[in-house]
Amino acid sequence: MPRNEGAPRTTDVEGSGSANPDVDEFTIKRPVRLAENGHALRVPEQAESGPDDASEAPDDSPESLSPTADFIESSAARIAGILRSRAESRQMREQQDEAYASVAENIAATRTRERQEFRDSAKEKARGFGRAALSRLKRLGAISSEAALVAVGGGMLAGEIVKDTAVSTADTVAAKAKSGAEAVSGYTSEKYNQTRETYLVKRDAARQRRATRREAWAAKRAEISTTVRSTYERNKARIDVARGVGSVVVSHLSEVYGQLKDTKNVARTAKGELEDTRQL
Amino acid sequence: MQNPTLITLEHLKQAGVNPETTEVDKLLSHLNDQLEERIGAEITASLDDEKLNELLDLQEKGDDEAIGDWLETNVPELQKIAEDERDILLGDLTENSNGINENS
Repeated sequence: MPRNEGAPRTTDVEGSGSANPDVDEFTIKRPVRLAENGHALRVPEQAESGPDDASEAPDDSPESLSPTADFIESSAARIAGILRSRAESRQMREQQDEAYASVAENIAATRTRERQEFRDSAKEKARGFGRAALSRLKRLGAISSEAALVAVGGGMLAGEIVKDTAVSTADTVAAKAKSGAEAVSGYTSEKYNQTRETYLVKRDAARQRRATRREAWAAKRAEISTTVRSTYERNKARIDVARGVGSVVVSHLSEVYGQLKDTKNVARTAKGELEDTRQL
Repeated sequence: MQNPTLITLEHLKQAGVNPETTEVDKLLSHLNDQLEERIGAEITASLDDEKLNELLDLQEKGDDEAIGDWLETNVPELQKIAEDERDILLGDLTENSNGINENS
């Protein structure tokens, strides 16, 4: 992991080789990476500027993505697949009069040209799902933006401790000159640690629940996929049998028809002979 | 649709981010965008292709109310998903707050 070599503790945490393989470093990656450059919170600007950002990394560099980023990418890829297929259908409809080769060529060109566009659009759509979900949950009162109140025994919340310390550090220049670790240790207290610990414990529990959910979803999708495939195969077998039966029936009917025809000819001949006999 | 900010300045403070030295607005905006994206990815993963198509259709129509109704009906774990993603993000933030303060 040469990129993070020698970096501060937080960089180690976010790297793919961290002690916890399930670290959700995607969000934090930006600040820390920039932190290495001394511009910790220029993150959103970097995100906009593109290729250097992990979340916008091209598909051919998956090693730069975290597990969370990979997951978001794969969700976006599913959405992009649907969007692409819809666009292709639309394009096919619009160009029905043109030669198929020309349409296919157009589709190939569209794929190349719009690949990034689909990806971006898919991510934006996924974000739209999340936004809609949060709006609905907030309206229902099912989720709140209240910060977690940690039992701190009637004292200040950790946030206040942070703020107070920052303000009460008489010499701001001196405070900034301190290393981050020193500055943090300045306002570390039992209460602060409690809050911190609470967030970390809640995160770990949430990760476990999420992993369980993902497994269940994957199993369900696999089951649906198997069911669809087996239904298709069963139906195909039925159709094959029906075709076979149909073929036998047609063949039998042809035979019967031929026999009827023969019978009719025989009858006609007999009728003619009868007429001849009568005339005689 | 109005951006339903869920992570606030108070969360940042509790996570140990020093608001005096950090570009708080940008960080908050980034975190809330991330939260939406992560919840969206989880919702996508929870749906089969047929349901995902339905949701995309609704989104194209731009009817937020209908999307909300649909999500409530078709994503039974919606609340749990949102809460867990929020907690995971805040935990990550807490774990990395030293680095953020350090480099501000």
